[in-house]
Amino acid sequence: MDPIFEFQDRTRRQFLTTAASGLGGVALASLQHREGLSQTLAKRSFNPLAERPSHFAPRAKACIFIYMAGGPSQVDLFDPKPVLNQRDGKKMPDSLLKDVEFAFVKKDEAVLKGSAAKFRPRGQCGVEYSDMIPQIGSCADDIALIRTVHGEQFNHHPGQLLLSCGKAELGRPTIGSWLLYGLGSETENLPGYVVLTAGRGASGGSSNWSSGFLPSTYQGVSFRDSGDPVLFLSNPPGIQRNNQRRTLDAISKLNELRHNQMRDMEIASRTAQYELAFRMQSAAPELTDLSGESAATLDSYGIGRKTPRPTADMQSGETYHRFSANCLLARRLVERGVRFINIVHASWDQHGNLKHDLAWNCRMADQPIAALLRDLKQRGMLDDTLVIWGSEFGRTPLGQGGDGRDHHPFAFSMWMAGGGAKGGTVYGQTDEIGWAPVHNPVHVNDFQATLLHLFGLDHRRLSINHRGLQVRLTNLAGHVIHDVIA
Amino acid sequence: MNLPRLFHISHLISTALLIATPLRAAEIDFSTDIQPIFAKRCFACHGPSKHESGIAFHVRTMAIAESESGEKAIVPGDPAASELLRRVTADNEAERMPPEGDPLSAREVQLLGEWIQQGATYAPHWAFTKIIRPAFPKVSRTEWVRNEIDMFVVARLEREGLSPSPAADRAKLLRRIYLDLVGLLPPSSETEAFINDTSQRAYEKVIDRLLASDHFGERWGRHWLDLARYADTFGYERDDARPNAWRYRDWVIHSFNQNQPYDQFVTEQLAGDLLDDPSSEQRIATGLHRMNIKNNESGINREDYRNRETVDRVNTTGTAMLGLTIGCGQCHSHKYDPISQTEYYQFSAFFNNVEEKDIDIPGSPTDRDRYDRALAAYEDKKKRLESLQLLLKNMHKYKTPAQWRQSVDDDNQKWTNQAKTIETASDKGPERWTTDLTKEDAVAYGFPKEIAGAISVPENERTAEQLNLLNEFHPSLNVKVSEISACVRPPSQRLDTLNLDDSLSSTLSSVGSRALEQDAAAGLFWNSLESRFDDVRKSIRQLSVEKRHLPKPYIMTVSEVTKDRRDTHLLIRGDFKNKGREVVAATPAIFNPLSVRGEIPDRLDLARWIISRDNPLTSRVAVNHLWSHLFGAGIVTSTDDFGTQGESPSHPELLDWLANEFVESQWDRKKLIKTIVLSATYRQTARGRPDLQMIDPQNQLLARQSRFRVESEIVRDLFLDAADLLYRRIGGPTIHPAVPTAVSELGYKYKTRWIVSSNPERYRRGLYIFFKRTNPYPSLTIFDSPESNLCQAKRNRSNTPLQALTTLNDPVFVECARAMGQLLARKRADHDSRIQFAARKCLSRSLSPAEVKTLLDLFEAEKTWYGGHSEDAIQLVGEYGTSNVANSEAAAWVAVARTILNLDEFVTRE
Repeated sequence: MDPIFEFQDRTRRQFLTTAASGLGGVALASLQHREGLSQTLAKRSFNPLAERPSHFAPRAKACIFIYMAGGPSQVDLFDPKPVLNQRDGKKMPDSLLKDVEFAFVKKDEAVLKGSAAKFRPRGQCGVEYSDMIPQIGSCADDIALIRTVHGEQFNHHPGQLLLSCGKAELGRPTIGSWLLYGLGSETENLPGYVVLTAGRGASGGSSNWSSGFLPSTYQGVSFRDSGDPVLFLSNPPGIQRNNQRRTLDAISKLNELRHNQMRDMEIASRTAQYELAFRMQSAAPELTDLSGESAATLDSYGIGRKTPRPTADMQSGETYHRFSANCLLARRLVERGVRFINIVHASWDQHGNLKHDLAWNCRMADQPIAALLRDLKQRGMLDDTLVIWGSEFGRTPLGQGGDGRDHHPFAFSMWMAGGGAKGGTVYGQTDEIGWAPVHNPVHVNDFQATLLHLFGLDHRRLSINHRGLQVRLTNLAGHVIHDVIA
Repeated sequence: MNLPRLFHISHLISTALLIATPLRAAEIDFSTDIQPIFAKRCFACHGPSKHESGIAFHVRTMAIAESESGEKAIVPGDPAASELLRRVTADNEAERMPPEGDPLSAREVQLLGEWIQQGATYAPHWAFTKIIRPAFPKVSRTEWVRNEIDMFVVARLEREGLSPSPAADRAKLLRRIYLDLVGLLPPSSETEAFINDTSQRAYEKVIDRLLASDHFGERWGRHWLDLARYADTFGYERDDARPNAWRYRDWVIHSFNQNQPYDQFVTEQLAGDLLDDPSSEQRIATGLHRMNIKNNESGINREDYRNRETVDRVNTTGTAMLGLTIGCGQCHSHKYDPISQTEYYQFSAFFNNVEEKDIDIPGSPTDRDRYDRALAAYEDKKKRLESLQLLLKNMHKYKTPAQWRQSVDDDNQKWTNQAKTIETASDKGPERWTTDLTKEDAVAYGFPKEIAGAISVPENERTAEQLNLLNEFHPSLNVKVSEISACVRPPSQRLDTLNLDDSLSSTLSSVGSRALEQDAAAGLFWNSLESRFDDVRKSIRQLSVEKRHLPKPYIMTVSEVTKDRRDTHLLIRGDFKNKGREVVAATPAIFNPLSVRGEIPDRLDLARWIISRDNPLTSRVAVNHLWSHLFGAGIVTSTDDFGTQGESPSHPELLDWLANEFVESQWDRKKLIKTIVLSATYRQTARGRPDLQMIDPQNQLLARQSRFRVESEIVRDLFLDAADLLYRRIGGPTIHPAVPTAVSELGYKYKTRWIVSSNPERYRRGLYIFFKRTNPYPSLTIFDSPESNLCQAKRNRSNTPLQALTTLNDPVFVECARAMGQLLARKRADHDSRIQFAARKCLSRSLSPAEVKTLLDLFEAEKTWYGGHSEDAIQLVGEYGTSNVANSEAAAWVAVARTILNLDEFVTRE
C-alpha cells in the first residue's frame, strides 16, 4: 500500500475503532477545502479544536463571562460618588457636555442624579461596594475592580459588539471564539464555548456568540432554559439510545466503505462528529442534572428560589431560579473542560424605573454570583478560572426623566476574579461625578488584551488574516493592564 | 515521489530544496509568485507602513538598497549575496526571518532565489493589468482535452509531471451536475436514462435542460445573495422585518433564469434608477443597496449610521464586483493596494447621495392581487376566530351541554319571535309601523338610538323631524328581519366552527337533555371549553402579528438625492465627525479612466466603468465566482480579494481566458457555466489520489474534482427532495418552517414572531426561509449560512457535532426520514430492492453487497426491537404509517431512511 494511504488508513481505523473515538488527538481531515482561512487552518488540518499551546504560561484555563447586558449603573453599584450626591438635581457644567452625545437625554434639561445606594468598604482590602450587592461585596478580596472602563459606542448592539468582538462591526469572532481558536478545547463531550441565558436575551442576539468569519466550529452554543440544553439534543420520539447507537454504527460502517472508495478524510471527520454528537447526548443531560449537588450547594446558589413580584421589565417568573442555575451550571461546565461560558442576562437598561428594576436585578444576581466565586474557590478552581462581570457600557451620572439614567460609555465598571486576577484591588479613578476617567483609563480593548494575557495569549500575535487584514480581538489597540494581574 | 527539477542557487538553500514541492510555474512572475510572499510574510515589518532596519520590499528601489546594517537584502542576479535568502533559511532561530510563524516553505525560498537570479524585477500586480486573451499552451495529452479549459489545466499538470483523473462514473456525474446547477437530486428515472443514453450529446442535453430549469435561478441566485448580504430583517437591536425584501431576491432569481447579461445585471443593481425611464424591475434591482444592515434603535446618531451604511455600500460594491478590499481605505490609505484614502472617499461619493425609497409597485396587479387575497384571507380567518371565541364564551356560561342546548332553543325562539314582530310591524307601512312597538323593543332589536328615542315619544307628540326619521327607517326593517332570522341557526350549524367529529356534534345538537348529560364525550368536551377558549385567544393574538407579515406590495429601492445634495468629505480615520477636505466622485487612478455623462459623475457612470471592457477586475472576479461554485474553490481562492494581499491564481492564463470569453460572449453567464461543466476538467472523478495527497491537498492543480458538503439550504432541500416532500414553487414571500420555541422566542422584542407556515409552503426550498439577522433559522447557521451582515464571497464549510444533531434529530429532518421510510414501507419489492431504491434516489448509485448488508442488518435489528416496543414504533412512524404494514416494520424502514439521509455521501457533492 502506498505510504500515504497507509498513514491515512491507520488514522482512520484508529478513530473508527477507538472506544472514545472522536476528536482527542486523532487526525481529522482538513476542516474545509481551500477556504479563506484555509492557509491558516490547514496547518492544524486535523482537529480544529485540538488543544494548542499558548504563547506563554497561562494563568487561566477557563473563563466565565457574566454579561449583564443593557448597561448597569456603575454609580449605584461600584463607583461611589459623594460629590454627585451633593449636586443631585444640579445642571452639569457645559464644558463636560459639549462634545458628548446621548441616546435619549436632552442636554439643556439634563441634571445630575445622585445615588440612593449606600457604599461601604468590604473585605480586608476595604474596596467600597454598594449595599445593593452585599454578597458580591463580601468577595471583594478576590475581585479586581476596574472603575475606568470606556468605549465609544453609546448604542446597545454596537456596544455589545465592541465588548464581544473588539470592534463595533458585525462579522467578527467573539471572545470565546478567539479563545477556542487560540487554545482549542479540553472537552471531547461538550462544546468548548457555551452560552447560558436568563431572562430576556441580549439585544444583539447570536452576534454576541458568533464565530464571525471563522467556521461555526468556533461559535458559542446556546444552552436552552428548558427541554434540551442543546438544540436537537434529544432523540426524536420513538428513537431510544440503542436505536440511535445502531444507526450511528451503520452510518460509521457505510461512511467507512465510502471512504475506501473516495479516500477523503472529510468522511472520517463526519463520522467523528456524529460520535461526538452521540457522546454529547449523554454528557449534556448529565451536566444539567443537578441531583448530585448537595443541598447546601443548591441553597447557596439560590436554586429553586422564587422570583419576587412585581418583576422587572420583561422578566419572567423563572428568572431568579434560572440565573442561579446558570451560575451553578457554569461551574459544572468548567469542571468538564469547557473553555468559555457566557452567562447572559438582560436587561440592565434602566432609562426609567431605575430604583425598582436595578434593585430587582441586583437581588437576582448578587447571591448566585457570590456563591459561584466561593464555590470555585472552595474547590480550588478559582485559581485557573477567570470570572468576569461586565456590560457594553454603564449609565450616566445624569438623570433621565425622574427615575432613570441614559447610556454612558465614557467610564463604567467591570471586574474580574480568579484566573490570575489580583484580588482585593481597585484600578482606575473617575472624576468626582463619575463622568470620565481621571487616572488609568481602561479601554474595552485593553480589557480584552488583559483577558487574553491571562490565558497566555499575546493579543498582538493572536491574529487571523481575513480579507488582507490581520484581524485581532483587540482591533488595532489594546494594552495589557498588568496592575490587575496577581 | 517525484522530485522536482532542482535549481541550485547556493549551498545555503540547497538542503531546503530537497523537500521542495513541485508547485511552481515555469517562469517566475513577480505579481503571482513573489509579491504574495512579501505581502504575507514581510510587509508587516518591511513594507509600506514600516521599514524596520531600513529594509522594505514593497518598492524595488528600497529592496535593493543598502540597509542600516550595510547588507543588501536583494542583490539582483546574485542570490548568494542577497541577505534576504540568508535570513529566510538561517538555522539559527534568532537570525531567521520572519521571526513569527513557520519558516518560509522550501518552495517559497526556491521562488525567491530564482526570482533574484533572474534579476529581481518588479511588475504591476497581475489583477490590475489589462486582460489579454492568452495563447493556448501546448499539451501532449490531447486525447483527454475536451475544450479550451482542459488545455490550460492539463498543460499545468504536465509541467508538474501529473496526470488528470478519469471522468466520474456517469451516475455520479449526473448527481454532481444536478447539485451544482439546480441543487436538487436527479430523479432515479433520469439517472437510469442517462446511463443508458450513450449518444454523444447525452451529457450536454442534461446541461441544457438544467440551465433552462427555473431551479437554476434559485441555486445560482442564492450564491449572489451571499454577496448582496440579503436578509429579511434590518439587523441590529430592533431587527425589524423587511416584508418586501424578497422582491429583490426574486429579481435575482429571475435575472439568472432569464440569463440576463452580467453587465446589465450589475448596472441595474447599482444604478437601475438612473436609467432612462426605468422599469419597476430595474428599480427593484437597486434593492441591492437596501439589503445592508440598518440600525432602527431609538436614540442613535442618524448621520453616524447613514455614514456606516454608505461605507457598507462602498465595501459591498468593491468586494462583490471588483474583488477589492477597498474598505481598508476608510481609515487610511490602503497599505498594500494602490488605493489612497482620498480615492476611497472619491469612490464613496458615488453613494453619498443615495436616498432610500420605498415605492409602490406600478402596474403590478399580481402583487396587488396577492396582497388583497392575503388580506381577505386574514379578515376571513379573523372573523372565524372571533365567532368561535364568541361561541365558546357563550357555551362557557352554562354548566352543562344540556343547559347550553336549551339556551340555543330559547335563543332561536326569541329571534324567531323578534323577526315575526318586526315583520308584522313592517307590514303596517312607513307611517304606521311603530304602532305596536315600545322603546324596549327597539333597544332589544338593536335599532339606532334616535329611532328608539323617537319611538319612546307618544305618536302625536313626535316632531316633524322624528316622523321623517321613522319614515325613512321603514325600509331597513326588512333588512333587520333577515339579519335576525339569520341568527336562528340550529345547534348543529352553530357547532360548525368547532370542527367536532360528527358523533359528538350530533350528540350536542340532540334534544333530550338526560342523554346529553350522561354522554362522556360531551362531558369531556365541556371540560375543555376553557382551554379551547385560551387557544382561540392565543390564535387571535398571533393573527395580529401575522397581519404585519402580509405581503403589502412595495419595493425597496434607492434613488438619488436631487435637492440639497450632501458634500462628500474625506473622513479622518474614518470618523464621521472629523471631516477633512471635500472630494468629488471618482474611480481609483490605477484603473481604467471613468467617463462621465453629465456634470457630476454618478452611479450610472460608476456602473459603466465597472462593466467597461477595460476594467481589469470585473470579469476576472465574476468568472472566478462562477468557477468557485463548480469546483469548491476559485482559481483565485481569495474570491473576495484580488488585491496584492489576496491569493494568486492557480491558473492565471485560464482565468484570463475565461474572463475574456465571458466579455466576448456579451457577459453570458449560462454559456460560461456550460463551457466549464462540459470540460474534461469538471468531469473528473473526485476520488482522492495518493500522488496528490502530499503535493496538492487543496486540489489547486485540478488533477481531480473536489468533494465538499453542500450548503445549508441545499442540505435541507435534499432531505425534502429525497422524502418527496419538497414543494417546488419558485419565488414569492418568505416561509417559516417549524422551529423549536426556545429559538423562536429568543431575541429582543419578538417583533418577528415565528408563525409556522402551512403545508405545503413550509416544504419549500431553504432559500425562501425567513432570515432574521439576530436570530437566524438554526439549521441554516449550523451549516454555515452567512450571517448576512456583510458581503460574503464564500462560505465556510465546517463539520460539527451540532450538524449531526440537526440532521439526526431536528423534527424537520426527522419528518423527512419518516416520509422516506413510508416510501420504502409501501414499496412492493423485496428488502434488497427497497434498499437499492433508496440508494439510487439519495446517492444516485447502487450499493455494494457489503453496504446492502449493513442496512439489511440494521433493518432486521430494528424490526425485531420495535416488534417488542410497539409504543416506540408508533411514535417513530407517526403520521407516516402504512396500512397493511406492521408498525415495527414501518419503523425499521424509517430507521433505514434516517441512516441513509445521514451518510456523509448524501450531503456531499462529489
